Amino acid sequence: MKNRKLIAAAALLLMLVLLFSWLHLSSREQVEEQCVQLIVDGKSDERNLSAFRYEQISGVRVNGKGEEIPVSGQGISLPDLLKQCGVSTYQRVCVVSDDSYSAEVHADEAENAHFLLEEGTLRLIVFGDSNSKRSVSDVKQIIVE
Amino acid sequence: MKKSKLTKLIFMALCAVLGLFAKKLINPFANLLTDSLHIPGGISAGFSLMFLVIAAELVQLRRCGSMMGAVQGALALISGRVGSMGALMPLGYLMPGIVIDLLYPLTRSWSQEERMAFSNMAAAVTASLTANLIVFHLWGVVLCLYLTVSAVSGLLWGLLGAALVKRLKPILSMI
Repeated sequence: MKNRKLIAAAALLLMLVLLFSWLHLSSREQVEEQCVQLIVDGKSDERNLSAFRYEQISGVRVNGKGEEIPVSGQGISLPDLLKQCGVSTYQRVCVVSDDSYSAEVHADEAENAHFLLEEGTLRLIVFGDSNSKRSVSDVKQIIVE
Repeated sequence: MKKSKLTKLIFMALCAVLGLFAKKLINPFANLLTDSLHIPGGISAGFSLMFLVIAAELVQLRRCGSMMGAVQGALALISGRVGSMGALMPLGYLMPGIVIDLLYPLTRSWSQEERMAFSNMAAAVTASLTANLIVFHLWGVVLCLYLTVSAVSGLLWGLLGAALVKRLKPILSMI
């Protein structure tokens, strides 16, 4: 048969995609809409976004093209969010989005990290960052260490 | 400069630019698939790299992939399309180009479809690995899924590239 190598490779890869999709989708934590999962020292707790007290936030973030974008809206700083969840001491926080993209914020830079309320989801913004690496949209997990 | 070489360079430049901007065309469709799998990407890179493989197949110049990757990286830097990779963005374009150059001599005895599909697949996986090293930092099952999705899309876009080359070859030979 013509292109037997291609058909075999495509079939093998598709099977691997199915296998890994099943493993990934069945193992990942399902977080409800309008909720965020907080994991502190391995213990997880799901919080509704409406449970947080937000305030007006404004600043400048840098987008993927390196342009400065003024940001303003309802949001909450990382230390405030953790305080409202009863967390006072931490060394670093890992923020994970719905598509598994993650960014880390260390305790000494937490004051610059804010969560902006965006269409019923949270977006992490770290003011002062020179690129968009830590601009995480659709935040689903906040892991505190 | 010979007219034939100039034509090849113009064609390479055209493919480099097409590859750079073509991603935007299929991003909405790609996002539908990647969102449902909860992975940060892996589909549009294969489409973008298809243009590099098309050029490598038609132009048959040494280091064609690397040259085009370098041009794409420079264009991305100049136009400010650096994304989350920042200053390392050119590396994200250069690495797949190098892989295409390395694979082409090794796969010369293969059929055109096989050569293009496997080169595009390897280039797409390289692009995804580079993005993962620089930006995403995925690991475990999600990384395996991300890479296999890249490989499948690279393979399929490579086949589309092979079909396009069949139609382009007679036209380009007339120029």
